[in-house]
Amino acid sequence: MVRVRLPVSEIESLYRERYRHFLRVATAIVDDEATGHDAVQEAFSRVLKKRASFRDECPLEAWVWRVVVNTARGQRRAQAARREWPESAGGGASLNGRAESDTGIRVWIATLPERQRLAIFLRYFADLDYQAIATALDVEVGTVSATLSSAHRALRRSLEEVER
Amino acid sequence: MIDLDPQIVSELDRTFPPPSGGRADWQDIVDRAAGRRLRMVPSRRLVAISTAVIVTAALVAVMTPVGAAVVRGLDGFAAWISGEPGQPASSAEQQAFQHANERSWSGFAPGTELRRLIQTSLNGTSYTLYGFRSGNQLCLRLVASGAVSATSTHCAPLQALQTAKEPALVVAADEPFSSTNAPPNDEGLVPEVTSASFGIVSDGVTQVLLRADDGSHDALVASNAFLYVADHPQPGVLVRSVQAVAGDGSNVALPFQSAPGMLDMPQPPKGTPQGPAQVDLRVSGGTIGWFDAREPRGKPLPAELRQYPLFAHDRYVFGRVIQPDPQSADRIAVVLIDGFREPEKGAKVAGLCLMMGSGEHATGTCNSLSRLFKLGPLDIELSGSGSDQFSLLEGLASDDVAQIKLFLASGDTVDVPLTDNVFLVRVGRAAYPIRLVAYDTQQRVIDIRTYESDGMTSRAPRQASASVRELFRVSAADGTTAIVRAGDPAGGYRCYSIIYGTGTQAGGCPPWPLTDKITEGNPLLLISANTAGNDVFLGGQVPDQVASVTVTFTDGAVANAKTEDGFVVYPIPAAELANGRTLLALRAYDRSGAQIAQRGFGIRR
Repeated sequence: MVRVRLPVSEIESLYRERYRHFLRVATAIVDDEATGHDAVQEAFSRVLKKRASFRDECPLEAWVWRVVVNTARGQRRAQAARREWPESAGGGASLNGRAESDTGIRVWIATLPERQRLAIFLRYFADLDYQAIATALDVEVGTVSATLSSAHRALRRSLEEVER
Repeated sequence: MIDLDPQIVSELDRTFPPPSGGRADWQDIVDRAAGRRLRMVPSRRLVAISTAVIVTAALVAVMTPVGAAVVRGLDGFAAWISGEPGQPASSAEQQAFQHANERSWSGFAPGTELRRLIQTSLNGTSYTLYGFRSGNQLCLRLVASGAVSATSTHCAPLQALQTAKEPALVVAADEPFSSTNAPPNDEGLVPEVTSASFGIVSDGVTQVLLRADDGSHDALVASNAFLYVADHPQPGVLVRSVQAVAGDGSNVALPFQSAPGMLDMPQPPKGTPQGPAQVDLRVSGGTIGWFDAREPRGKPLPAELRQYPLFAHDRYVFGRVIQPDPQSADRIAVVLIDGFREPEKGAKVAGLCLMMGSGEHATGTCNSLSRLFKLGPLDIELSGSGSDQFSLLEGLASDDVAQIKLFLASGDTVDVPLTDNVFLVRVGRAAYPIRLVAYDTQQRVIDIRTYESDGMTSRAPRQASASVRELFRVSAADGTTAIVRAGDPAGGYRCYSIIYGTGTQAGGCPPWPLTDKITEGNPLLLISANTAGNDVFLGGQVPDQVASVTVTFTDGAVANAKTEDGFVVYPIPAAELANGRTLLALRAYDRSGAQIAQRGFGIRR
């Protein structure tokens, strides 16, 4: 397998081009824009430090997404005691102080298993394809497909319920 | 794949609106990676700002061994990245640039904005340094007007700025400016009126210091650029190193290779080639499907190229202009011709020409089509001008190649733009040794080319060039003189030069003695025809066993060529060139008088 030393310029270029997408996904994960920014910054600093371990068996962007998602998840866990976003799937979703009108899809998102939730974020907020999502979440492509189908059905149902 | 459901997108956007704030801050990431900055969560923002000075100091200590405060980040080059260094050029200057640009088949991107950076005057000549960004090229254009009138444009790839660890970039060094009316001096050379060195600097750089053979010189620094114009430089005086200096006096050496003098080439850069060293799969017999099928890829050959004698009349078969990198003005014309004369055998065969155009410049080479991909799936040309700090690697890749990567000595890797089997990449002369690696679709390494340097270097020791002296002169009918100089062999090299009037020059410090490997078994291989005014000379190096050389014309006349100490020079009589062309045969003899080589020449003036 080819192993390359990743040029900093490629990482910087990716960061500058996709910063808003990274920020949006990270913010969705940690539920706070400032913390989301911090997660993105911290994730990219890790990418810089770990770039020697990058193997071009997967695309750079997918690899970076994995780091960003994991960093954001780590930050969310660190805040778990203070924050109310559920760590695992199931009930107990919090509205995080949002207005009641925002709650429909937010609650549904919150109640999705974490993998489905992250897949939704990466598909809808970052416009990643299944392969890239699979790499970012470290799962098989088939799992992404099934996860998104399941999440999609759940979201459709939630919207229909809200509309009713 | 599930499509993005518009209703879900709308709901998600409403529930998780796109970030309202947040600002990309690359320097913060670099600082974090180096462990030099407090994590900048919002509540700590003030703390982070207040520690900025400390952070900078920490950076300084790590980045430069002397603890200098010269650091760089892309932000320092923001003016260049945005294409807006300095001030806008006047509308007349912009129009002149645009006009020259439009006339070229490989002009810079339409709408490229010329920026005025530095202006200075010297001995009745005004030198104005302009800058512009064209796609991923950052270019400097020095215009001399007055006693000397000339324009010189050199470009650096944006990637060089992005990967550079230093706060400045030398783009050209010792670019010569001569008066076209000046006569050659006693050594046959037209002396330079000035020579110029220039480059790009980041915001924090206040001084650029050039160390040359005649001492240290301060460059003018303004508008994120530097310019140094040497007044009547003595022959052989070159810039040897360049330093960028910050406001507090700290400094850092910039990556730099001296311009090559004919007898004074720099040593190859120190370093170890990076990247794969083993080929995974050997492929041979490569082809380019679209070219063989005459598919109209890229663009047609422009009229100005069709007018080249080489492509004129019935010799032209097929040609297309390919732009390997959509972000660059560089274009390469790939042209198939009939009747290409092989240099070695003289036979007429199908030839393949690559014409490389960048801005107003165009250069090219032709070769026998049958030699394409003989050495592997990459067919590479390495070129560059002496003053340019960036060399060009361009060429063709067979259909076997899916990707090409360039590995620099620094460990940085560059994806080489590759379109329709044509590739081109600029490489800093100081970034060698390099490896160009070709991969197939399965990421297997199928070709590796390692280059110690850009070819404008020599491992010849100093004494090889220091001992160079005149050996002999030969005058031609029209008054032009060829001057042969050579030094003593040293360390396996021998330096020499042959100057043909005010025309071509040949020479360098090649390996010595000349072996059969170098001459490919023909002691007359290194003899070439050289035009100087109305005269044409045959001249070059011959191995030590060659004692004499004769020239035989078609009418049977035989003349002796001046042969001395390993060099041959012969001026072709004007009568033999009365029709502008002649055929002749060279014969070499050893000391016993036995003929040891023969070579035919067809010469056209």
